[in-house]
Amino acid sequence: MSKKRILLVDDESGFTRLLRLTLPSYEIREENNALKAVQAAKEFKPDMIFLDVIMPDADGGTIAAQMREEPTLKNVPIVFLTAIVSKDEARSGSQIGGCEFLAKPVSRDQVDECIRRHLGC
Amino acid sequence: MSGTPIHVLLVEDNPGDVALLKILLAEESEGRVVIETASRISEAAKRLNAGGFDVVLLDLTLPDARGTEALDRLQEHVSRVPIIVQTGMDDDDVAVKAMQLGAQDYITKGRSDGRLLMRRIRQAIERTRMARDLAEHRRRLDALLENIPDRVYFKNRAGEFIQVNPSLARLYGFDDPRQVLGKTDADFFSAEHAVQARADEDDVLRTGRPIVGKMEKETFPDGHTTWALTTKMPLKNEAGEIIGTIGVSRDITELKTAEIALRSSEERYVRLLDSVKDYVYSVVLDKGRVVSTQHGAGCLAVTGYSPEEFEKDAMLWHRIIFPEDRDAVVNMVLSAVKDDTPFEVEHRLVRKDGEIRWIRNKHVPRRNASGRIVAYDGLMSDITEKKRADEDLRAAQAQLMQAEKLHSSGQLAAGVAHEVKNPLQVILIGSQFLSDSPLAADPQMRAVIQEMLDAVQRANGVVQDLLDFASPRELGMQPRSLNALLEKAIRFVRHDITKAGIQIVTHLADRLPEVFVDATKIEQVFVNLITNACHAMPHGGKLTVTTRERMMSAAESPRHDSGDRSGIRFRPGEAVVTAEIRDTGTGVPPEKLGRIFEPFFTTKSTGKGTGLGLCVTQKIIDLHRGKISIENHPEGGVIASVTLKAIKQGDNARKERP
Repeated sequence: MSKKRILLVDDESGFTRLLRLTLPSYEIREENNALKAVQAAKEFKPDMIFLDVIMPDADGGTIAAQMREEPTLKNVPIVFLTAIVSKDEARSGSQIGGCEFLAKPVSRDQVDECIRRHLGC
Repeated sequence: MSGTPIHVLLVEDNPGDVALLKILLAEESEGRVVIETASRISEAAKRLNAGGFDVVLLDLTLPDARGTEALDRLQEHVSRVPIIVQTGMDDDDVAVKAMQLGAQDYITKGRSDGRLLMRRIRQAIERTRMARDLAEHRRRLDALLENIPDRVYFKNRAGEFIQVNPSLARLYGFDDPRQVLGKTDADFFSAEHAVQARADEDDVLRTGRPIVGKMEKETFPDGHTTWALTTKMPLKNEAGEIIGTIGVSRDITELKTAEIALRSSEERYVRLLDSVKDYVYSVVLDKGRVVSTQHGAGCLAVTGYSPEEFEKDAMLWHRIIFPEDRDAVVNMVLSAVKDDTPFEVEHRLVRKDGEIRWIRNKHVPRRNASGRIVAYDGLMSDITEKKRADEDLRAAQAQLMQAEKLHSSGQLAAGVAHEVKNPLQVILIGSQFLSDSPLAADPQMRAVIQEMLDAVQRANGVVQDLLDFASPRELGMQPRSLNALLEKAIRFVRHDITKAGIQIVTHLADRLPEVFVDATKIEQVFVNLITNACHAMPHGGKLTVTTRERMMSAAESPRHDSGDRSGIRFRPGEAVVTAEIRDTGTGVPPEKLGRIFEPFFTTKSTGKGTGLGLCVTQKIIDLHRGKISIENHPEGGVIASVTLKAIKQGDNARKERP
């Protein structure tokens, strides 16, 4: 069974690289440029996408909407990553506007658990 | 005529005729005729001027005046004293001429016997007297009609004026009353009024009964109206037959206008008094001392006490002023009186039913003609509702300002969170990467990594608290029981409590009224307070959690003018629910007690708290328009209490949301 493919969109390259290194059981593609995120997703065909909400060129919500327009991406689960949520909202499995998100800073285990939950692996 | 003698002046130059006449009259009058004689007309005139004669017998053949010339010369006396002329011959022409000139009668010498003569003398005197009386009577009547301001008229049966006085003529626009004669009311008044007046006259003509003092509104063709008080009487001829009407009417337009004005003014006053729910009073002074107070109708409504109760108890007004306000109000009254300045004050008052109301009390001095103050006229208005509206407005404004501040500080916090949490993210994942690597086999390395992970958690906690503190958030208000929220909060931290060896005692009130709260936020408050209590008892102790319902006391409720920026939360007598969390720890140093709600102020050792917990807690309670206090308990430890407004039975949930 091939590794699950995870697209990680976040402008903080230190984070994306370290997360990829700590989760070697997944095939993780980093994308630090928000404007290239949709194109990267179309090429990479991920099983799941993590999307930073606040990035310099575009916000995660807009990118998610564009991804939903793509027939090949519309069923791919998207989980947001955000630094700006309250304590209540930060509990795992929380939703904002119907979308699941993780509050930064996230631990390796939180991300792993989240992927397993969504992909059933 | 029988008792008094008749004085006769006999003007006769013939002594024989004089003697004859004296004899004739003496016989007939039984001595009650006194005769004096004058032989010339000049002498006669002189004697008449002296007065005292009832009648003159004048011979027309005098030496100094012949014929009617003699009469001419006595003319000026004719109206007062009747003159009977004597002619010597049958000269009817002279006699007729004499009568035309004013002689009362004439007799022919030698033709008259004493009886006839006497009768004619008496008749002449009587006729003159009657004429004089009549003339006097007429003179008086004319004077009355000329001068009376009332309008007087005489009308025939057809309603035509046969005589009017100048006052009436002037009403109709004429200088000469004669110009009115022959006209009727229809010539001067509107048809409506003329018809009504005519009907009244017909009534008088038919029944003979007068109409007395009838108020009439007179409408003229040009539309202007006057008011008159009119009396109409029947005008009768000698035979007693009604031949017309007499009317007297008085112009009462001014009176009537004044009356109408007065009535409408009175009605306005009554309406005004009815509509004024305020308490109007007058303090009456004499030589600077209060002698009495008049209490208006609003007294009972505003104070709950009747005017009689105020009269019986001179100090009642003083006592009903809310105790905290009393001194200030009394001082203001005294200084207003002393400095002669207007007095106006808003203060609280304890009504008879115990309710505390806000009133505005103002009075102005009333002065007499010499400028001395004789009374103070005052008005006391209940402004509680207005005051409450003001407070609500102020609280709303404060909330808005707070929201505005939160919005900007929220943005700042979000920026900080973003900039700090992303690096923390890198460090966190980096540390975990390191802990997976072979380097972590070294225990020292493991310890370093763990320190780094702890530091990340701590830094993240500070930023998270900052976010929670500063982010504007809608509260999801629901009616909830504080008991349930407290129990849930205790469950959250039970692990910490038992770990520290702390005993928990709960006294949760039965049938506690619910409160409107954002349950998550209030849970957070209780978690914060209980966590603080646990941190204060690191070596164990007792945590007591109590809830109860109570009434807000007046002393406890914030003063309305205290400038409390968070607005008014409670009113005296309002039902509230209080939750208390008490520990048996070390307490807060008194000098630090005043600062515990400040951001980043903490009494805990580094790493134990962010310094934002109580700040966030207070903000949450503020948003709920509640009250939080943290005090040292006299027997040691700290007592934290949270007070929120209780939901009354039947409260509308939506309406009562803060």
